[in-house]
Amino acid sequence: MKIKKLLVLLLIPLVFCSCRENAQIDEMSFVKVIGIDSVSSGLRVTVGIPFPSKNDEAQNKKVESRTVQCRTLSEGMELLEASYDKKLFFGQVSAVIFGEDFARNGINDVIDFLVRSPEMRFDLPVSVVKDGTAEEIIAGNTDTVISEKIEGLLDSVKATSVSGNIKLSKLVEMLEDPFREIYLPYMTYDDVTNPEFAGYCIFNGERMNQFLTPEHSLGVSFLNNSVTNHTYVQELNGESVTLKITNSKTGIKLENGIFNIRITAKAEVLQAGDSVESFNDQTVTELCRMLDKEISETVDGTLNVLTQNKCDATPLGDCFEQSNPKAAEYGEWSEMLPRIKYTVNADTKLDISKTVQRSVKQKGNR
Amino acid sequence: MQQISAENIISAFSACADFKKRTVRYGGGVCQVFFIEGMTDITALSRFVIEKLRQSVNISDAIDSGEISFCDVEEPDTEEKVINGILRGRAALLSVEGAYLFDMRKAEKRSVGQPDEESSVKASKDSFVEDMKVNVTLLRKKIVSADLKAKRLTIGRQTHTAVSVLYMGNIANDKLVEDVIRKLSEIDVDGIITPGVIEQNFSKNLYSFFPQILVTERPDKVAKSLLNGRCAVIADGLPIAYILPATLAQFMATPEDYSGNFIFSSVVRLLRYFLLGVEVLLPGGYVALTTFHCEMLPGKLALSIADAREGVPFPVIFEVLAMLALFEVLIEAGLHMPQSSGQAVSIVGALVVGEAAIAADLVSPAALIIVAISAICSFAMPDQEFSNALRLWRVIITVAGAALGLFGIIAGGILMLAHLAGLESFGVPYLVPFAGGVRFKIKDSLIVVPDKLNEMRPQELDVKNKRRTK
Repeated sequence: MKIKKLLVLLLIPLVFCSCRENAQIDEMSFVKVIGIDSVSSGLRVTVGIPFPSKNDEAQNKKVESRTVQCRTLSEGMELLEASYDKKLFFGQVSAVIFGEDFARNGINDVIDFLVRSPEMRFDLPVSVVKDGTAEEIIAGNTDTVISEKIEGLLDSVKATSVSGNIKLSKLVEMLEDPFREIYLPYMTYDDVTNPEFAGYCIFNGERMNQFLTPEHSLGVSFLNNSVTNHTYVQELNGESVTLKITNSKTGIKLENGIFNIRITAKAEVLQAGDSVESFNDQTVTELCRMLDKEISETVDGTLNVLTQNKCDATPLGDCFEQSNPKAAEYGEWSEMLPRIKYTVNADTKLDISKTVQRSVKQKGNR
Repeated sequence: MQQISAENIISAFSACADFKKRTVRYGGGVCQVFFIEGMTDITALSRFVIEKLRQSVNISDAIDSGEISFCDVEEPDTEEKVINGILRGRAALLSVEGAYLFDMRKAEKRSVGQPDEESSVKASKDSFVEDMKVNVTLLRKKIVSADLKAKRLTIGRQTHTAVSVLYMGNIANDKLVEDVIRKLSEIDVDGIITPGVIEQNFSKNLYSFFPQILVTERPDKVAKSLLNGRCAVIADGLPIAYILPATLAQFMATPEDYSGNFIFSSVVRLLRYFLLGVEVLLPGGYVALTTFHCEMLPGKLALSIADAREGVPFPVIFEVLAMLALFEVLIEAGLHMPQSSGQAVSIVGALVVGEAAIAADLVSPAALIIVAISAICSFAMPDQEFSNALRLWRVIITVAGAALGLFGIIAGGILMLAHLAGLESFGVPYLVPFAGGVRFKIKDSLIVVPDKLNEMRPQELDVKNKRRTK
């Protein structure tokens, strides 16, 4: 009797399991990257699929790219599936790339499909191609797995700023938030085999609005989360001092209708000339003041661009919503953006311990 | 007193060519001596009993006066006792004065050697032999105390095997001792020829794969268990001892754990528990992940496995089950082959499995590695019986994983845990101290601690003397 009860208990969860066809791992082709572009008739979907190493074609190229034209992404998937002898498996996708045209036309439907797909993971990094198409990027990189290249690039973005790497889950959150617009990292390329990330593009709703310059992208990083790696070169006493921001934290408060934005940052000296090597309090204060000014100007310039374009890719809207229980009654946040008032203050602490040690040692050697 | 008839005894041993009868004349008359050739030391019988007897007038006087003092002498009062005595190698003497049994047994026994199955580096090197008396002596040498009690029983309708129940009189719970003796007395079989007879009778759940009684060939392991308040059973003719009650934690411990640095031993023991999980879950997990949940594999690993499986005509489950079966076959073949040919089995196995099967695309290297890791983990289990049980559960969980994916693995794992939780050995839950109503005690279960830090005996045994130290 006990065994029967136990079996029933074990079988109950089966009811909650969605049954799907299983397939042997070697009977599947792993889609590593999906690219989506706009064409007049709808969409152009490109997938990058690594060749098995035992395949003869793998001697020449590592990835096979295949493109289909379709009206919707789900139709595209079916067409791709039909064109393959193996089952296409999307659970291993590690990058989604949108072409510029597609991003400008609206990404909602595609995001909806990606999120609903039972195979697709939620931690997929999403990025946009500037002045090009996703197909070009994927088809032009058959000697290597483009998703790995993109992952590597995104890792460097992530190393620069915690908020740099936008995943599918984060994208959905931003899409659903009425007080926040989407920003996505974008890549540019001269040589299709060597793309690089240049900054963020910002959206109005589901449509891409514009590409931000690297400086304004840095401002977005400062406003959204921690900047963990950025170098500034300052001139002091006629010599260059290279300073590196190692960490930053941003606090936003809405007081008397004014957004007070306070950025606290930690920095260290990477390189300095002989005349500024013996860091005294005055030198440190001066360098901190310079950094504060740089950061404030960066953030101020970014906010200026964002507010004028009515794209709030920062936590300002969330702060407004939290501070005003009836925020929704004020109307569209994007319409209010150009009228908001804000102050930006930066407070940088400079760590000179490593530099001083090096300086003393050099003096000793002399 | 029952009349003991020589005719009845001769008749009982009819058609026994090795049964011998001698008539001896002594001062007071004629007596008959019975014994079994080969079991009785004839030289000693002639020299120390018959020769002395011839010079005597009265047998009982000769015994009492010490003329016949070479060996133990019993005076059986029934024919059955006489027959049993003869069967055990004693020489029976029947005269008008009565019946006597002279302990003239010829001891053909193996000397105490090193343990074959449970070897160790620093722990003691002696192991039990087939002689019960020697085995009890080995324990008495380790526990020099009158509190080490040894109760003797006879089991087996035909074999009349002597069995000893050992326990520490001042520590062990009386109820446990009574239970063990009662269970032994209830054993009604023809004989105890193999260790399985006692094991089966002590196991509450006969259909469980898991051993419910700890079997060891190491006296030090038994001695430690006795000092913890457990009982031991030693049967004549078996080079092992049974330790009762048994729990999972005991199967995961080795005497070596207590021979070295306790921190290192603790790490090794924790590793052993980890390996238990790997052994049981790895093949099933591999099948489930490669068949149902490819998205959970890291990208490069998924590609690598898919690459490795390219050209293999069988599904993953078949591949893994075939490899597991082949592994069992190799173990079985290695056991039954003569030692000189055992190496050949390993070589053929390694060549067939490792090289030819992969080269012929019959199995993928990934499946081979998974089964090999699981096999190595199974060898890391200290107890062979326990390892065998895990190997069977491994197959069940692998099949469950192939049928239901990770759900099957989890369901199989829960089923195994539920089964383990339901097992009992002499009233002690199998999963003690991890579950089973006693306070979880990490000492001496998951980790090893020095004796001075482990002052209390196991709570679940409810011993008389709960503290090891003052």
